[in-house]
Amino acid sequence: MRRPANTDLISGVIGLVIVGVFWWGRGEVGRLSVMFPNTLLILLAALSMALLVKGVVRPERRLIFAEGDRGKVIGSCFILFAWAIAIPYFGFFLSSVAGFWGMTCYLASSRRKVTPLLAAKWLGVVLVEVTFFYLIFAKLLYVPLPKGILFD
Amino acid sequence: MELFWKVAAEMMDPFVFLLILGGVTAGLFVGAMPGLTAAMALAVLLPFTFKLPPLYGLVALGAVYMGAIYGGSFAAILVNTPGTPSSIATAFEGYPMAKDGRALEAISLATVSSAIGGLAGVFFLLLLSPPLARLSIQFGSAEYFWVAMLGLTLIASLSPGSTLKGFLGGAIGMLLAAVGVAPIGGENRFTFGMPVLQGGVEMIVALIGFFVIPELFNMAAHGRAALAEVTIESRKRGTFLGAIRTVFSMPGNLLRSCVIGEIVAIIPGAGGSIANLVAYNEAKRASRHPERFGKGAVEGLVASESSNNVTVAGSMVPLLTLGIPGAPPDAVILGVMLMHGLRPGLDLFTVSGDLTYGFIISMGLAALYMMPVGILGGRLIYRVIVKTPHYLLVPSIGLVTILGTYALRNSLSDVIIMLLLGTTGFVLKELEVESAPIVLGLILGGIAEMGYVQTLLRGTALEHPWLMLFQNRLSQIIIVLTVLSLASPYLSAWFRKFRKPLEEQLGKETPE
Repeated sequence: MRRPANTDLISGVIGLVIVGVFWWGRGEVGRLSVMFPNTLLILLAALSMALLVKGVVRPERRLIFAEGDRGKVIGSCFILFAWAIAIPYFGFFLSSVAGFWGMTCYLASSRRKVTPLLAAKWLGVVLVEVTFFYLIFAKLLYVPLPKGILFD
Repeated sequence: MELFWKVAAEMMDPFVFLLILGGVTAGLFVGAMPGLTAAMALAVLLPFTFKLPPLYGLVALGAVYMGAIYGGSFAAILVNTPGTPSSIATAFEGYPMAKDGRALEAISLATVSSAIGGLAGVFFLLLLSPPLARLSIQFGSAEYFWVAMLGLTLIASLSPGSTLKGFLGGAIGMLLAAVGVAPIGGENRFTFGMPVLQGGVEMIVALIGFFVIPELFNMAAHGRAALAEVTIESRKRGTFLGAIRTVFSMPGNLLRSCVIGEIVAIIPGAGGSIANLVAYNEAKRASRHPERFGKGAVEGLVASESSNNVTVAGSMVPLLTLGIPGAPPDAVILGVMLMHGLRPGLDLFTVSGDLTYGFIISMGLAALYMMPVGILGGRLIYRVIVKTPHYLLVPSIGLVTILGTYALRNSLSDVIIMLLLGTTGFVLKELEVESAPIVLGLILGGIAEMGYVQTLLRGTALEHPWLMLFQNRLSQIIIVLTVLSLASPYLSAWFRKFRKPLEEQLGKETPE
């Protein structure tokens, strides 16, 4: 059985990590440019410390990532990133058809058996939808959609 | 006033009517999907307005906003799942009505109440904005800094869960706003050697990421199979005229709910999600038959739906005058305004008056359009939504999100940043750090930094330059309000603690 997590403690740690990363990332800048960010970093550090103290003294505990299918979240996240990263290589159209279709089959697999016939049917739907949006953006809104290195 | 009527005449354009019709329908589509908020509806549909002139873009988005808030009532009534948080109280009465075979009557009542609420919001916006905009010209750098702080403390204290986490989210958002070239000083900060970050985190990219991606992951995790299994039949036919008569037969309830909606709307960060619950609660308290609430009381439904639609135009009051979004969807509208070079304040009502009044009038028209769209097409739209499987819906939203983010600056880096921010937003949401304070922090960060640095520069002759932040009367008033909003969650918790033993004691002393 999963145990509830101390969300105060985790949030406090994340806050301090962000402070650390941004403190390191300030770069060599003058007083005027860094005046406000410095104040913010001090404020964020204070809030994170307060959350850490609360996490020790009176922690708030809850189950995190407990609702629904966590695997589907991770899988969807992976597909979305892969979809975006593939665009410069395969072009917008091809990447979107692959990303969209892949995600449809992946999400549907938890609810029903994905047969080749069903997958082919969905591919048709995906092709129509991607073409529709492609035409709207490329031809109507004149957005120059990216072409791929490997394919157009 | 002359300008207002001139703009009103210009708005009688078939293209404008078409835009509003399309906007309301699209908003209704997204708003009726349980779990998808009005902010998400605006973020998803935003790219379609990029190439439109500023007025048309704002008109379309205003209509989407109005339609989305109204659309939330469909899911609340038919499947007991509020489409947007603004319809939580609608489900309390709408669903029991639907179970009783009065689904059509409930939808008609929600439609009429929403339209009246929408029109009331436009009236309040027209009434309150110009004087507040005139007041805003008295605001200097210190006042703007404090207004930004006030907005942030309000939304942080109103966000669900821990207030501390609300503030943490706000601070993270402000830090994100600091990425890129400094507004005063002009040097690069927090770019981590990546040239793509020199221009900063584009506000709309962050808005799309924080509002859309977490909801997308939620839909992927939960699916929507359970919804499709619920079917509500309407045995009793509710006529539209009957609904109008019923709604107007309770003028006190209607007026009270609209006023509550407007008061909540003006508080930055609150919006329809709070207004509908407060108005519902007050309707119940004022009712002669509070025992009917929860069993299909029409007063409760009218209170919820009229108050939440007041907030659509009503929350534009602080947005158009001070640049502080009254509710998360307003942040998207602000992003679009800034994208078109429109800055909130008095100029918006004078120099760009034709655009501002056009936008306000269009929201009134959108409120009226909700009636034909809702009555004629609402049920059909809802059926389409429920029948569309989540495994096609989630990637469809993903496609529009990726396309829209890319189209903003024709940049694939923006798409990656959007996905990174969205994923971070999802993780933070699990830890009860909500997206709304982060987004508000991102929007207010620039205003706060300008105000802060300019004020300190003005005070360089003083021994302690920071004292300049506290020196004038207007600043002091806003500081008091900020402190009050900071203390409000703790004060209300203290009052609750104090009241509980007192009530228990009174309960013991009062005979049955």
